[in-house]
Amino acid sequence: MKLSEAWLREWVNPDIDTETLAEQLTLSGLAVENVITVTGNYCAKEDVVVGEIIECKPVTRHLFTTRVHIGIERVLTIVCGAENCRKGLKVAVSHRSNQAMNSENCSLQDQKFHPRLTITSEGKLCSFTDLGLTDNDLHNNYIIELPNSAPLGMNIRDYLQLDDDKTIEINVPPNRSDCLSICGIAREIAVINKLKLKERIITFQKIRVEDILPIRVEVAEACPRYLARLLKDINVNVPTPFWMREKLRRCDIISDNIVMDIHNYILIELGQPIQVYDRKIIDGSIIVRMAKSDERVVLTNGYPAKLQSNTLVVSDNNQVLSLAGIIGSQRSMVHSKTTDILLESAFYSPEFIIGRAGHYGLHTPDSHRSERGIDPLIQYKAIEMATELFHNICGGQAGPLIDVTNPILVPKGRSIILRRKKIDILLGYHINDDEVVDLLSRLGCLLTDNESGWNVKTPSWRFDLRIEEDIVEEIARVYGYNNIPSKSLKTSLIFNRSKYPHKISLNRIRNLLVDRGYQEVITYSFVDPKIQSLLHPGRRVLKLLNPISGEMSAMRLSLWSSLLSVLIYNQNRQQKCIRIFEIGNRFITNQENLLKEDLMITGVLSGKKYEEHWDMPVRLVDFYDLKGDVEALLDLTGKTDINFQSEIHPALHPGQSAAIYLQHKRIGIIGVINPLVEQQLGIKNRTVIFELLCKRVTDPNCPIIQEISKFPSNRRDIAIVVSEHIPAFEIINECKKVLSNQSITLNLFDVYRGFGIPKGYKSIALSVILQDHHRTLKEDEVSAIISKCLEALKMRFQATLRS
Amino acid sequence: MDDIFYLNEIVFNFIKNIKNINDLSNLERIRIEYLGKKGHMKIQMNRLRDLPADDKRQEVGKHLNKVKKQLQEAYQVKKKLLEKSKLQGKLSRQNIDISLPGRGMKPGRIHPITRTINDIEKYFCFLGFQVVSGPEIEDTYHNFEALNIPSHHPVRTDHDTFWLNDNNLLRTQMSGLQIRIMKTHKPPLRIIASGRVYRKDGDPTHTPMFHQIEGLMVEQNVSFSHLKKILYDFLSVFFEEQVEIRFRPSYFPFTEPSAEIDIINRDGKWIEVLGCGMVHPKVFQTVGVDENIYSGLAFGIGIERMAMLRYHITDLRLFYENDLRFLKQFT
Repeated sequence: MKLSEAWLREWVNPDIDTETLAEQLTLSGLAVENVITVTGNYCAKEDVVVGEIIECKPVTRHLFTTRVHIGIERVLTIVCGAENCRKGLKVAVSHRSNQAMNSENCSLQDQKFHPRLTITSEGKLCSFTDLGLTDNDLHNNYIIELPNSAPLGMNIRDYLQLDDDKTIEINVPPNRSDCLSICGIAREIAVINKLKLKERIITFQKIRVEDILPIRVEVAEACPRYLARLLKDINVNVPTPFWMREKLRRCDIISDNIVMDIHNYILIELGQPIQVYDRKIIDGSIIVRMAKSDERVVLTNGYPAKLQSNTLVVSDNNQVLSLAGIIGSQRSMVHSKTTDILLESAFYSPEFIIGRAGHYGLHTPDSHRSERGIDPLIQYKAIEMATELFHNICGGQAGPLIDVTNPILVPKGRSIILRRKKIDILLGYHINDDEVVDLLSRLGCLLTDNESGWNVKTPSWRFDLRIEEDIVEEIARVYGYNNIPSKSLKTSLIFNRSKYPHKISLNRIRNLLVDRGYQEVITYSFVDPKIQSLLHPGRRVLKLLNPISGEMSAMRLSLWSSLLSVLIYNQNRQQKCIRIFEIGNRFITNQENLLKEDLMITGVLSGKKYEEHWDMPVRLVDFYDLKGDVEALLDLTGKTDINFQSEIHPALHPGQSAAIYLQHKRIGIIGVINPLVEQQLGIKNRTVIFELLCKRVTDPNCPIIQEISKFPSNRRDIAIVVSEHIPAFEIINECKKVLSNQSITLNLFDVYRGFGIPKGYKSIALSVILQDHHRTLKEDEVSAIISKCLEALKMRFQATLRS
Repeated sequence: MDDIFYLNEIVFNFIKNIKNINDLSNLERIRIEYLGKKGHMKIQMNRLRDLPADDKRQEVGKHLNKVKKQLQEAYQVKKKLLEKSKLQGKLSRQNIDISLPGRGMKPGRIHPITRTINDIEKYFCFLGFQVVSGPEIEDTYHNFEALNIPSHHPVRTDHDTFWLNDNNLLRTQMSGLQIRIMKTHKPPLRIIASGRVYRKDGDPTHTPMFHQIEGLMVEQNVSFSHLKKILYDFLSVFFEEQVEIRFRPSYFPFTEPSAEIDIINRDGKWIEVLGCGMVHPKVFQTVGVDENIYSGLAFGIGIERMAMLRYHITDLRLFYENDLRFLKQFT
């Protein structure tokens, strides 16, 4: 909420500067977001002064020549095209019109509108836009009308006191509806500074007509108070007086027409919406009722609404006139021909309003306040003020106040028991009784003693005070949070009993990857469905109902599209050596709309293996580079039962991809990105990707330590030739199986194809290190073991010894 | 006797010869000349055999052996000297440019968000808080209702929620986890949870996903003044300096009293870093904690904001662009 400091000070005027005032508000829970000058883009300097039109002659239909007195002897001749230009008007005169004006309208008017005119304009009569006081003036063709009392020749900047006022922007928390008005904020300031509000009591006395309307409130609990008044023969086409426009402008409200302006004026000052209806269209009586199901109404914003039966409406005998506390209907809106109006100032119970505006896609200043709760006692003051303003500005005659109040249903504040003990426990600090009573009384609470503390009766405007804790917060708030000392914890020592102390932490995994050159990234959980379907075609995707954009509308099935996007982003920024990983959730759904999220570790490797180096060959990464990293990661578990099995994946190279198994459970996948996909995504270099399910790689084996043999070991190398399609892994497994009762270490140290090896075959060299725990193995024993192994390989894979 | 055996002359010549020698092969030649099988010393030994076996012969023999030993020692000293200088010569030719960069690759970096979370978690773990985690897909009950945010509550409008269906959403705050934990674990409780939260905010200075860390402590007699102490201490530890802090009343539906903490940033402006408060009795009633026995404090910290302040980052979006040139700076 934005408000004018000067207006606020009409209500309460503590002897403190703006900065202190703002800090007081912030520290009492009404965060001041901004304090800005009210000069707007005011750009004219000494040039603009108060003047009076002493002569006004029409030249064409839209153009006048005026003689303007600006308090000096010489009277200026000024050409003006404003609609409201007339004799006797006090105006803002810029008498060096081509200088220092931010608006081009001025020069445009001078030249365009009267090219054949020979009169030289000695200045310009200014509009709000001309002065830079608003960018958004709906009455661009109106010059400013100053009050008659404005002293001739006075600088406008001084006259408007532009340097003595500030616009204060306050972030009012959702529970403090009582602070959505100048009067409410002033009340807070009065509490803090121990001052009294300067309340103006208005009772409109000049009742001239007897006209009333029958009013029937069908849902009394929804509308405990309905006040109305008829105003006849008023002129709604008068421009809004200068002072009102200026006050509204300083609260960031753009002046519209007089009806809207008075509505806004009262809304800002008192927080009470005044609904204004065109009397002529009201058929019969006013009825406050629930909407009929599917009842239709066109709202003032032109939106045709189909109402739900839970919506409270104000209607006449036939049609809806407004959605109670939210917005009026187009039909009942005041228009230029309106002469008679009905003012409404009602209290609606918030529970009958809340959520309704939102349902129709609306959020109005009225609904904002109505659904949070408006002081149920303010309606009288509001309607009297509205009557007075309309009467003074638009003329006409006012009828008597029509008051339909159900006193029993009007909220009168709550009664809350406040225990002395509760204050001490919750705050951990003792604020003495006198202070408690003083603080709460200043807030408008009525206190009576009881055996445990007090009975607190809350003020009518505080909808947020419901329970004892709320009252304690009020005490702390007004006492000052910063004045409550902080206190060290005095509790028994709690040991941090982690449920899984042995688990491999995600940080351990992160560190391993980081140490192996990977950069951790964090990406959004929603991705572009187009890219995702390229990587995971045909998969069912969990979609956001209300995404931010199409490119961020699908929950990710894997982290692939996110990481590949990061890859492309960096590749396009000349990064040659890209290793990235992310730990994050993937989201899966099925036909039954089951929603599942799994934490994944996903890594991408692309480009050069090393940055260019003076002594290392430049080469691109490949499958085995990444596999080595994955193996290292899995090695953290201490488990050896790890298996990579060829598996086809639509996004991966068909011959260079594998599923990863740990203890026969599929825990992830690794592979080179399919060159076709690479091309479609615009990836420039060979890229390898892996993903692992976090929960499957964080359970480590507890290592059981083997005794180290004291006897020398024996190494034998085996070189065999086998068919190309036999995976090395199976050869190793076969050896392990055969030698299972020996203490051996196997290592595959060479794979060779080419000269001496038939096409379609490969040579594989293994070293076998044999060691016994009890003795040195004899030569013939070793040979026998190796022969057994070779025999098995021959049988199983038709392996031959390489000659 | 000396005339016969020329010993002085031999010693003299030997010393003179090896003195001028500066390589091992010449030294070897000298060794053979004097100490070899046909060398000067051998010749003298042979001559000794011709003498009568009397006391004199014995004495001369002793003397000869002494001289031989002398020569051998001199030879050894010289040999070691030459070997050493040879090695030195060899090593001096093996000088390398130690300023050239080593082989291998540079390590990567932990993402600043993770790093910030780790720093914060570490602090609270010292205070006995236990790290827990929960789902990112939440239901309306845990994300809103149980936290005293019924439907149509104005706070729901502020939390521009991403919906998956009528009941499921991407969590808008970490606080839902409070409910899950308090329903399954009895107090005393000290937990801390961090993770991704999501809000659909059109503001370009916000991102639709960000991170929060949420702390909850439920014990007997914890109070607002404890809350202040814990968080004041935390902030000064986190920022590694005595930061200027203020406590300001605020509003959260699930705490009462509620507060926000501001700190002064580098431009001398107060900025909000975290929200906190005493657990609202409605929340305790929902999860079945007796509010007459226990009280609770809770706080929620925006990770991005903390990281930005700590590392002088001015644009929130940098965290999610993942530009390696940005990320590599987090040494």
